[in-house]
Amino acid sequence: MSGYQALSLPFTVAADDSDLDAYLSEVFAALRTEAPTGEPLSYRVADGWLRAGRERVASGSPAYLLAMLVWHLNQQVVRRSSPDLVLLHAAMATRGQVGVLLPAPMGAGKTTTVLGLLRRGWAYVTDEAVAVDPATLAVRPFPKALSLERGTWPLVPELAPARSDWVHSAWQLPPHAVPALVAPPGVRITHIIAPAYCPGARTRLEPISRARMLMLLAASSFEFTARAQRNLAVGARLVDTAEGCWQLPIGDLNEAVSLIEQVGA
Amino acid sequence: MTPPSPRADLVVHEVDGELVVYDPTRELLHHLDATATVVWWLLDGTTPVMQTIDELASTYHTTREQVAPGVDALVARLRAAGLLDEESAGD
Repeated sequence: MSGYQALSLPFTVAADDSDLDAYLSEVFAALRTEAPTGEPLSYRVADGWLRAGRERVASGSPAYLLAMLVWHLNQQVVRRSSPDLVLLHAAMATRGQVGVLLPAPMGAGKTTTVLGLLRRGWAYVTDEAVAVDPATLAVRPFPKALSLERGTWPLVPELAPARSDWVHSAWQLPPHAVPALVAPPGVRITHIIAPAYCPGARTRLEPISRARMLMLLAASSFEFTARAQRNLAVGARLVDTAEGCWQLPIGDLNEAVSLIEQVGA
Repeated sequence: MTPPSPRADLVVHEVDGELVVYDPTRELLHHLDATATVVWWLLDGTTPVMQTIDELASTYHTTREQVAPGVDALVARLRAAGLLDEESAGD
């Protein structure tokens, strides 16, 4: 059984099936740690059950159980981490001193966009929850496996997992499989770009006011209302210190990535 | 009624001359553009709206007839959103 750390959540993952156990080790490899903080949450897949601490769910489909594991883990990471960190529903990648935050709701193309950046040599921070230290604005990476939804699969067929029977609705792609490096702790947000996948649209960067981006960041904050004052203050500092804020309607992924690279150059 | 003023419990952030206002009671966010932000800061609970209109007309070298509809509409919008102090929501 391996030890992992996802932001403030230490956890373990194991499966009775040795092949599945190896697959899980692969999926969560970027979160492995020798020194988890505190008592870990234990995940185990065995005999048609997923046990998550004291909760459990049964299914004859290992793919469904794995999807539940990923979903539950993400929920727990947010719940455990949001008291100490401002968590934004966003993807992020870095290159050199440039850190691009990609806030967007589900289905807007966060993961696909960050994958495009990683394939051009950017370092991975996360595809789901950007964790900002409210005191320093430094970002703590959450390099979970990228969750690639079905619509992205045709763009990167070579990244298909070996076992399709373990895929429910998304490929779980660890950053080393891209391959991509993971950004170190302490990276900064220098550019804020809100992607929005719009089939057939002309891909373009549109500057938006910092106040409008602050609205968007607030709407993208996990558990916003529980800590609204803190989260708004951090959001205001982020938009204030960023070099710029843009919307990015995406009709073509390569064009979108090129535009991001141009503003981040 | 006293002149209108924003509720004291609102969380207000000004960014590049625009406002983001969070209403913790209704758990709603509001965005005010640069023009509305200027008016917002003039709603201090002591200055009548009529006087605010005159000040804006003077500052921007225009007539109160041109300024008044926008200010009145904004105050009505803020009132409808519940962002003004109920005790001072009139003029």
